[in-house]
Amino acid sequence: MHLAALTLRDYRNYRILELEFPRGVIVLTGENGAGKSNLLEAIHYLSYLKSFRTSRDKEIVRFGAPYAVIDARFSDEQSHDFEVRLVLKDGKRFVRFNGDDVQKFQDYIGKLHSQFFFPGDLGIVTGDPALRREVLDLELLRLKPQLTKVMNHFRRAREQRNKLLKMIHPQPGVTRDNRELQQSFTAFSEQMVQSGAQLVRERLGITRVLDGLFRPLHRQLASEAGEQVTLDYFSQVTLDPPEGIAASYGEVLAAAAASESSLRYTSVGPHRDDMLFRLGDGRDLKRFGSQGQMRSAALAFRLALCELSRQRMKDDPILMLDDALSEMDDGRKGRLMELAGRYSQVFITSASAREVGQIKRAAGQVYRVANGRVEPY
Amino acid sequence: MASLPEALSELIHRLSRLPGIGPRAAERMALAIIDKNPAEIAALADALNDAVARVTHCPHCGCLSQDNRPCRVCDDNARDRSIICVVESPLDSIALEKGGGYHGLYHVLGGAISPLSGVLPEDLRISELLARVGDGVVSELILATNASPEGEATALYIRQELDELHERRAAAGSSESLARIRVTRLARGLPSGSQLDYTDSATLQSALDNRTEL
Ligand SMILES: Nc1ncnc2c1ncn2[C@@H]1O[C@H](COP(=O)(O)OP(=O)(O)O)[C@@H](O)[C@H]1O
Ligand SMILES: [Mg+2]
Ligand SMILES: [Zn+2]
Repeated sequence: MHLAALTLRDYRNYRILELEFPRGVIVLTGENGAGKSNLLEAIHYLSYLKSFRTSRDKEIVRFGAPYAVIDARFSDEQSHDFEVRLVLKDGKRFVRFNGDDVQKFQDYIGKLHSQFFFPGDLGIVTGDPALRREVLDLELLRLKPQLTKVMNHFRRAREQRNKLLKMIHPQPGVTRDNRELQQSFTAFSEQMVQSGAQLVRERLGITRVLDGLFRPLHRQLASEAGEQVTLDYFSQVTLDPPEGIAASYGEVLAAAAASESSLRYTSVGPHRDDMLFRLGDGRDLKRFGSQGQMRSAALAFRLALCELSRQRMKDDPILMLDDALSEMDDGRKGRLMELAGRYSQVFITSASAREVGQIKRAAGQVYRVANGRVEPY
Repeated sequence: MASLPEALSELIHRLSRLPGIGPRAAERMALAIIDKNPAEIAALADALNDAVARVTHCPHCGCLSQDNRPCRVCDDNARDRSIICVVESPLDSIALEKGGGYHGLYHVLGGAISPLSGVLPEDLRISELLARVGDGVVSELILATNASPEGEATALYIRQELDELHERRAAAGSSESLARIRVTRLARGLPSGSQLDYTDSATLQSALDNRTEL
């Protein structure tokens, strides 16, 4: 997939910007504050319906303007065109995909695919488990859209179960003697366990596939730093063998009954699981790794996601590397450029003339960003 | 814009409160109604009143019926009285009847267990179902609740109730044949999370044919 055309109106510092982009490596260069990241943010927004730097849509509208509009045309490997229009107005957003209003965001998410990396982006390694679960679930939905139903089933069954926990235990530690509630609880627990186990199996599967893609990429990127890093799905439920996951989930829940009677919510399951980056001897990278190790792992993970999409969906995501080169030595820069250059479209931003000089050879097109304008260099 | 006569806007307002009828459609319907000849409209008004006064729930199964009489299915001697198909709403039984391949009886629960919406087992016609099952004639129960978490949990709940009923009877030394009752669930031909009354009849028929033990 690549971004063929982009129009921004009153988006961040852009009053009006109309551009067409080729495939290949695109370098955006310009002073700090020129608007390079803003441009990538717009592409990210189209893919994920959120920014990577703010949760407040209002900040995105150009100061003093009533609303912001992004129009974009994407084209996939089979030359299918996708047209997207996004309007941000009064803190609300409106999306049109190929001329139709998008009502349910789950129908839209996953249609356009980009992966974004910037040097501070260690969140995928160091951030909340929720962040990694979200990434895994999104990738799963891209590969198997029908899993929406399983995810919804699990969430709904868990919400019903939580409600029952509060009815059965009106106060922490207090238990009402009510057979109907107890039996309903058993029934919803079973629903939660079955759909939850299915979700865990899927997440485990995709983590293993990603691990296989991640390792060689990480080795290539980190090379001299040496230490191997692996991806590992983490759950309180026993994961081996996968057929036993439901049974194990049931057992873990049964064992948690006493604590649940005071917590009064479901404390075990896929909504609590994680995907860990582990160092060679099993230690958790986010606790024992160096900044450099974490950065390489985060970048290799983004590349592994690109690779997954290329292999399974026969479609490359748009790779966006924001100032990613600035903290790398020359050897690593070269290796990253080699890896990134394989994808159909890569956006790289850099404020450094020296860096641009270094990667020019690999670049298809260099643009200069200044004063709210973006022009071929 | 010319304002409408009060009586007409009242009619539009009433119509637009019906499901699936927006303000525009209500307007068109109302104008069509006042355009028709008076006899036809009187008949429509009678039909409305009649339906409201006379359509009731079947005392046996809870399906739609008339004047508190048993419904057409319960009243039909050709139906197999040993099988009961348990559904959430009367609409579900209508959907199954359209398939034409089912010859047993029905039991309408009146919903599914959903603590979040305040629906608990006591709000459903589950004890009525257990009473019917205990009569010694019934040999199979098809739990045809929706494939939603609520529908599935309700099926499981009924399954548990039957087991307990059986145990209590056995403990009391009753010789009734509860143990032989087969409990099945519609097969997974149904897309998960789907509503029975929105499912096409072919899919519904295959789900019915391939029902599984619960
Ligand atoms: N809503 C907005 N309206 C106008 N300008 C904005 C808005 N949000 C951010 N900016 C401007 O965008 C600039 C930052 O752009 P950015 O893309 O981060 O620069 P860089 O080229 O360094 O990546 C800042 O100068 C900031 O004032
Ligand atoms: Mg920047
Ligand atoms: Zn009846």
